Amino acid sequence: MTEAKPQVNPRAFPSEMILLLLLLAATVLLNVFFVANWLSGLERGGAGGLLQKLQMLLAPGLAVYGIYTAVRVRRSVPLAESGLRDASKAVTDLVTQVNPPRQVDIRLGKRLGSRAYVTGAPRKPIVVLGPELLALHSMPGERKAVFDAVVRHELAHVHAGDLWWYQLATVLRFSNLGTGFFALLVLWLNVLFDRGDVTSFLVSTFRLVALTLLTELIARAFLRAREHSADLHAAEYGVEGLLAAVQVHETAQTRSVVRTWLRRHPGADERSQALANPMRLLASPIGQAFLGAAAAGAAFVTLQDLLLSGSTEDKATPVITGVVIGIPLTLFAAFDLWRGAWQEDRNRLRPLLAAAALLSGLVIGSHLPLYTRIFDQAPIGIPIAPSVLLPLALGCLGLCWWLDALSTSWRQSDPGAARVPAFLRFAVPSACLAGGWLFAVLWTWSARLRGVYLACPTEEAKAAPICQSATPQSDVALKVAADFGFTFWSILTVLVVTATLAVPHYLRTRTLRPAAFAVVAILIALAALWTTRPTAPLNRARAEFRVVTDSVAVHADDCTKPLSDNVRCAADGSEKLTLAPASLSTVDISDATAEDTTTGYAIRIEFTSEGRQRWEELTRANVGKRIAFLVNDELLSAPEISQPLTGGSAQLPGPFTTLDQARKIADAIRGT
Amino acid sequence: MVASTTVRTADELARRVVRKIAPEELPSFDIVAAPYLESPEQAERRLRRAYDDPLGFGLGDIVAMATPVIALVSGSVITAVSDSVGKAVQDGTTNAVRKAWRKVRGKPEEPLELPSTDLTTSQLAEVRQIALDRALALGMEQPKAEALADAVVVALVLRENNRDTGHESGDASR
Repeated sequence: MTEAKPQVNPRAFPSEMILLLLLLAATVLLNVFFVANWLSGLERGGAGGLLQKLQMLLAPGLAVYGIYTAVRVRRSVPLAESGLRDASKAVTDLVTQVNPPRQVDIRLGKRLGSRAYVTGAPRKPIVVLGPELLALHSMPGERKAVFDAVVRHELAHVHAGDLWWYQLATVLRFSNLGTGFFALLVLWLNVLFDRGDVTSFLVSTFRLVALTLLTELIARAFLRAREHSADLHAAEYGVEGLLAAVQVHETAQTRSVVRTWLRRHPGADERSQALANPMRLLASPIGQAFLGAAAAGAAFVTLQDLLLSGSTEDKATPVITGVVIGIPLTLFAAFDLWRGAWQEDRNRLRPLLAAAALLSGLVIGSHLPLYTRIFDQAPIGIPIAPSVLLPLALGCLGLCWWLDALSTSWRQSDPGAARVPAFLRFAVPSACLAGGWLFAVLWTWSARLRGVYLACPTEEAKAAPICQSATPQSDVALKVAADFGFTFWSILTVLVVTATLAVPHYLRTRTLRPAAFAVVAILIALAALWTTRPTAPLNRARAEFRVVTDSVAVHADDCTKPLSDNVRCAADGSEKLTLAPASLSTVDISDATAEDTTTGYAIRIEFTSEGRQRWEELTRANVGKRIAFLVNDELLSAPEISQPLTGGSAQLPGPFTTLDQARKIADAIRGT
Repeated sequence: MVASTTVRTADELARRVVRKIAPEELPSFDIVAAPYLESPEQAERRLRRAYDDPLGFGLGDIVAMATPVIALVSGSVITAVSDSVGKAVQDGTTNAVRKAWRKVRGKPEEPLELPSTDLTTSQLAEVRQIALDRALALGMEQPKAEALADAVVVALVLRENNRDTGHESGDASR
């Protein structure tokens, strides 16, 4: 005698529709806000410009929805006044049976054929039925069952309050289209007034269309999810009629993938299978993971660009962007995998497929946004470089495997999904931590390499050490590993990831083996993190050597005003120096000590082998010029180079009045 | 051989054919057939289009009723017969300006109406072929389409008084 399989209620899990609606709203609003910000930036001196532009971009969506609804209602007449008394009574009986929460106005759409739909305001829903559908009510057998099923499907939309969701989704969709239209118009005007070239316009147009299409695909996926929900609700009163109605078109409705993705309704075969086995709906199409990742990829670039509006040198921006976008992206992928874990006959390769969808979506999506500070055809997205793509792929795979392992492990002790809320209480915060940390690292990695690729070709940045490196990808990777490797958040993430796998397993089996494995895994992970620890302490002060390109004598008061990034005042406030980008930095310094010299207190800098070479090249190329020495952006001195300096050290004066002051600075550079 | 038709309009022809091959659809004939008889071109476009109404059922025409196809076939047959006998209809429905003017004034378009017409055997065969081709083009299966074409020919040559009795005498002048 076999044990009956527990029935899983799909409603025990976070709703797929809510996830898709949130994705749609986030994508559209970020896009609209960005374009509004961009358009308001084009107008000079308009107070409140951003709000006006937001209004301009969102209003068309509301207006078009209103007009569309009015037209649909106008084409119909009240069923009770149409003379079809029997049909009207049959529909009224079904309304009474379904008992929707609001009073429903039933109307006849004379030219609607056998179609039907719900329209009107959410508080005053209207169900419009076609004459051919109404004619079925008096026919025998399957035709009457089809009539009942279709009317119940429409009433299920009313019952679930789908008009609210549809209204919101429609406004967002039309706002998205309006935003795309305004952006395209401005781009075209740019070309007309000779401020841009046609090639750039075409490339930008392609990106714009792709971004708009991405949002539209998300909206369509949301609408399809609602239809499945309405089908399931209607099937509660009997599934036969619904299956008969759907199966009429089972063959004819099988379409290409693209057409399927663009439809508001699932295909007939998909609906038929979902009605026969509602558990199928637990596993969302893998394409939805791709859509979520593509939207996140676009959001990474857009949000970073918005945050950078204040400062171009903000090093925290990629981290903030990675966390803010990474957490929802992780949760989106997590719910997708978690729902699928409880599905019967689930695909074992799903974590791999989800990781592939995340990787491809992130890379493609990051190349779609247009209007960034690095405008136009510059490679603004995730660099197509092995040093970025490989960790991104491994990160996505590891994340998806871990998320899947969490749910499959929990499923063993909760096959009926009765304790899903308890699972979510520990899994969601863990996923937020791991995903936030992972994408902060990966996005910072990507942004830094992208910054190198974009900055190094420019004249100002050519002297920077990273631009002179033969292996910039490795340098960026090492820097990221040094910044994120052996840190509090990394260690916490390792501990949480391991604990979330081991603890539920221990509670279920009461064996210590998983705990032992967990300890070993933690030790290996910590050892790996330890190797990424920089050879120098992390808390070293930032020391820089920068060539002085210009200097002017100023009054001391002038130095109290804010200065731009490449201008510094001398320590005594007597002159203002314009500086080139840093030629040497802390990584080139191996040691620093304070010295008492005949001319005052100074700091002796010992260079690394690479730093020594760079120092020689720098002084040889700039004989007769001054080189500024800065610590934590404070200008200590700017001595003139009288001859090439070939030693492995340099003695640099500073505004020190005591040896102790010089010693403190030297200690800061050493990081002790 | 010559058969004199008593059918004057597409509505009349369609009703007779529905009574013959899909009697269960007769009670709803008026409301279902109306769009297909009033503006057949638009109705046919709607019939062929794959609708994906938001918050609808989503599968277009979920049930294949015979009445729409019969109404469209009847319209085509009446037009073909009127052209073949070379007789203009009441007020020259080919006059596009007049049709447009009537529409602007909110007056319904008057249906094409045949005078009492004698049809030769070859004309009846031609009518049958037109009906068959149209039914097939509208997606009807071959056996049903042939039954429809035969029913159209029979309806054209039947006496009108059969409507009330439901019997078909087959009394046709030959």
